Amino acid sequence: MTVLVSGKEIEVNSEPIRREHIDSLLDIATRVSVHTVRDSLKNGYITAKGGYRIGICGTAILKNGEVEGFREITSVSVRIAREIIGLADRVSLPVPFTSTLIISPPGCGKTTLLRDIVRKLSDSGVRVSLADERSEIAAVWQGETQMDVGKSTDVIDGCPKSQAIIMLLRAMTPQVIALDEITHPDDISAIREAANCGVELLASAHAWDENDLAIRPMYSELMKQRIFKNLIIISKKDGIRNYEVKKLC
Amino acid sequence: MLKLMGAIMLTAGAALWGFTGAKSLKDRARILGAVTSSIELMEYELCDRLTPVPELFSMLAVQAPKPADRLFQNAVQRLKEIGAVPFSQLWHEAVQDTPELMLTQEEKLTLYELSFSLGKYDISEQRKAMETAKKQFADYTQKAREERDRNWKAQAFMGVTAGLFAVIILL
Repeated sequence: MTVLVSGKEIEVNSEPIRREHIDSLLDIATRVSVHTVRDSLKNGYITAKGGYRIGICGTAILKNGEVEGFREITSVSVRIAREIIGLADRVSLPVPFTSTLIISPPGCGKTTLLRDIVRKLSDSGVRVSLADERSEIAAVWQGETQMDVGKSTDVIDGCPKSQAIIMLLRAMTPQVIALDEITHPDDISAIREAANCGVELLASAHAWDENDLAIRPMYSELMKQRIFKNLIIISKKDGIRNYEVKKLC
Repeated sequence: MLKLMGAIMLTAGAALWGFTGAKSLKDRARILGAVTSSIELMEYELCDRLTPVPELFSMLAVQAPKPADRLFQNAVQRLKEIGAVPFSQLWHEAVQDTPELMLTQEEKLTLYELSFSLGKYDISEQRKAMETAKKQFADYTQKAREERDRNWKAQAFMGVTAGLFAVIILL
C-alpha cells in the first residue's frame, strides 16, 4: 500500500493487499450497498461519506458495449478529500464576479480552490449553481453535501456536466455556474450556451499556463470565444503554491 | 380420589405434549411463511427502491412479520462491525442467534447463501439470489404446511390417547 503526499509516493505497508482488504474497504465505503453506487461505479469510482473518492480497478462488466460495473476488483485508489476554508481569500477575485478559469497541472489544488470560491460567492449572496459530475466538489452523500460549498449553492451531483449546466440554466436561475475540469467538447457547448444567457462561469482545466491552454485544440477554441474574462494560474515551487490572477479581456 | 387426580394430571400432561407438538407444526409453517415474506420485502426494497442494506435491515427489524423481525434486529446490531468483519459472517451470526426461527440446517444454509450476494453485486445478480432464496423458502413453507395439515390432529390426538392409555395401564 502506498500513499501519495505532495507528489511523493511513500510505501506505508509492505504486506501485500489481499482480496479481503479490498472487500472490507468497499463494504465500508458502500455500506454493503453496491447497488446504491452503480451510476458512479460505471465511471470507475465510488464517493464515500466524508467526500472521499475511491477509484476502482478490476474486470469490467459490459452490457451492449457499455460499462455496467466492475467485478473481481483488484486495486483501489483512495483520494482523501480536503477542504481549505478561506483559500479563496488568497486570490483577488473580480468584483462583481466575472467568468473565471482556474488552470494548473494535475494535483495542484484546482478543485480545492474552486470549492472555496464557490463557498465564498454563495455565502456573499451570489446565486451559485454547481455541476458536480464526479461528486468531488460538494461530495454529496445521501443527499447531504460533505464539503462546505456555501449556504445557498444548488448542486447537481453525478450528472454529465454538459447536461447539468443546461438543467441548472433552465431551472435554478443561477448568476454563476461552477464546474470542475472541462474535458469534453459537450462541456464547451454547454458553457457557451450559459455564457450567452448572461451567466458567469467558474471552471477549471488542466494546463501549465496560458500558452499551454492556447495550443490545446479544445481550450484554444474556448479562449477564442472570450467566454472567460479571468484566469487563475496555480503553480507550485519548492512545495509552495502560487496563485496568479490574470485579466484576459 | 388421589388416583382420579393422578389420572387427570397424567392425561392432561400427555395431552399437553400432544398439543405442543401440534402447535409446533403450525408455528413452523407460519414462521417459514414469515421468512419468505421478509425475503420478498427485501427484494422489493433493495432491487426496486435501491434501499441501502443498513436502512433495509432497520426497516425490516420493525416491519417484518414476527419472528423474522428478530433476525433483522440481530443483523442491525451486527452491522456496526462492518469492515472489521465480512458481511457474510455478520449475517451468519445473526441467523445463528435467532433460534425463534426454528430453522433446520438446510434452511439456515439457504439464508447464509444470500449473504454472499446481498449488497455486493449489481441489482440483477442480487435479485437472482433473492428469488432463489424466496423460492426455496416457499418450498420449505409448503412442505411445512403439508406436514402440519397431515399431522397436527394426529399429534394432538396421540397425546390425549397416550395419556388415557397410560392411565388405563397404571390403574
